[in-house]
Amino acid sequence: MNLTRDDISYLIREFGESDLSEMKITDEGTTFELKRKIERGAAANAAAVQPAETPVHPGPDAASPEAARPSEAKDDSSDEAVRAPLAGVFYRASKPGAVPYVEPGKHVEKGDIIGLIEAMKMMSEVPAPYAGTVKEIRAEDGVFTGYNDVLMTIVRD
Amino acid sequence: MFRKILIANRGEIAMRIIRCCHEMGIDTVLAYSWEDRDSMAVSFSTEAVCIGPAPAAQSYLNQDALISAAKAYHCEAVHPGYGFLSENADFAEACEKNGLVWIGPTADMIRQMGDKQSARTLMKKNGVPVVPGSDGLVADPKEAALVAEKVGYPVLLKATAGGGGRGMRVAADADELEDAFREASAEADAAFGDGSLYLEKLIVNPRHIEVQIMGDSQGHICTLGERDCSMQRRNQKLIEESPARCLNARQRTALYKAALRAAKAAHYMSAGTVEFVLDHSGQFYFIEMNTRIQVEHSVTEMVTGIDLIREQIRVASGLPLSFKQSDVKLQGHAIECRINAENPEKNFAPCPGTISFLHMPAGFGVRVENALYPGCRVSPYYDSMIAKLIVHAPGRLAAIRKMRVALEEMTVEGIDTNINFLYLLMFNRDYMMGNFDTSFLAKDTSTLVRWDEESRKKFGRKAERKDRA
Repeated sequence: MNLTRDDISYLIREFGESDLSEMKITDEGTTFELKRKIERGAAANAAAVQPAETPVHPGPDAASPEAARPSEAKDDSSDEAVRAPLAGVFYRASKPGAVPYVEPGKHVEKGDIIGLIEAMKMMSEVPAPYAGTVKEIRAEDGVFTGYNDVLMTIVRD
Repeated sequence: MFRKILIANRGEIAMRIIRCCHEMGIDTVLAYSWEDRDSMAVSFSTEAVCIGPAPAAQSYLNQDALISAAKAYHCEAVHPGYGFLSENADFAEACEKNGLVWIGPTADMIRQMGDKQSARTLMKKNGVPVVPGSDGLVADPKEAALVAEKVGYPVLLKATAGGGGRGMRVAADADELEDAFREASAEADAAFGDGSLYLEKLIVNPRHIEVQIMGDSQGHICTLGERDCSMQRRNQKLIEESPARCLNARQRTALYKAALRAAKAAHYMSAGTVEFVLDHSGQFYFIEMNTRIQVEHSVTEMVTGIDLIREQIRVASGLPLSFKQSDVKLQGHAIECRINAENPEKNFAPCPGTISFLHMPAGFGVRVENALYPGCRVSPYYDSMIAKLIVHAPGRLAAIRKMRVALEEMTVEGIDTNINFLYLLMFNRDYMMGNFDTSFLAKDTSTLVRWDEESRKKFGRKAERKDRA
């Protein structure tokens, strides 16, 4: 392939603005590759923490959610991230004290319930969008999650 | 005073409220839709929470998500801005029930004024002139015809649950009445779930004059001058100014008195606007009361020097008004132009897209309210107003001159805007002489638009071939 200087500038810019950590273009024996390390998450520098409100026992009403800015969570490959379909308080189990719907390592079929989200006393089930194995749970039990926040990562079958 | 407020809105008004809160030492939580995740308001708010996807129904109108978020983030109050849920009495009530202070009037006041027909009745009872029409609802075309005969044609059939110009039909004479009734009722039923109608005489080509009101929880209510919002296109305001130079002193005093009576009748609290139409004989009539802060509040701020968002927040926290009626004096003249992402040459079709280059005007008496930055996206999901350009000068002509310069300087590239159209209006003879009413833009838009188009036409054989292509 014939990459001009403009092409290279363009590719670097696009890569920089995307949330990719790696990009490789191969054509007729020529390879153009870009790689970088992405800082994870954003909670550290995002919100001012409210000192008086920090609870001793985290519970549904009391937990302070971490205000992660969406564009800063760059290491979620969209392939594995399962995002909140609505805003509300996330629960890992059907009721307090019950066994959580999923744990890391558990295999789920498409449609299996992986958690609940509650908004104003209305409970919504969160179904697994595809069959796979739960890798990592990101959302905390009893903590408010925003729309599209990453709840967990599930590796596709 | 509140420590934390949830802002349930977006764009320029979200920025306005965030700035005001930060000035007052109040932390803000901005509830935004996924579509607005890269917006300026998200960056500047103390905290921000995504409450739903792009469609407003699932985000900015999502009451459950908004209240959940407000509670989860330990907000003490909710500011609804304008539009969206700002005049939704159920939402105001739900907030209060959930321990969140509503920054606005009470749910009851919203409900009472939101029912157009009952607001009319309340005004009539309190000696506020209303447009001649029915006493309450008209049950059927026959009843409507009786009232129409009394007040005289043409008449307007209006939905009591309505707003935004919907559920309304004009009947020019008795022959048109039955169809107008059925159409208006059907539209109202579809749009608001209530097909009930009332009837008003149609005031032909009126001016639109409104009075700003502010009340506190201790019974103090003040008027803060009037605004002339007659420059409208399809019932959407385009230019607003204060004071209304078409009024004489007697009319102005009468208007303020009527507005105050209206607000007192409703025991009003927080910011509100009493809207009137002024007919060609100089008679004014109450049409409705807006129970929220409005887009054009900035115009009143320039001439009174009073920060209306700040007053709203103070009043909501239980403080009295920071001024007395005798402190309110209108100084100079202010004009606001609404900058919209639209193409006047394509019948004002909205133009969402990405802004590639941006330069805002500034200077003495020039104020810009927006949430734009170079590279930002203008979304197709929300309304097309992207900025407000406000000027303040010692007089109306000086204000028009200042607006011309400001519009010349304002540069927005990457999307189409109505900046050039507004600029042409600032040189329009009728506008400058103050000879315009709410029919102006409907009559003269095409002339202005064509003038701009024609002035850009190229000449020569090559250009003509291109034009024909």
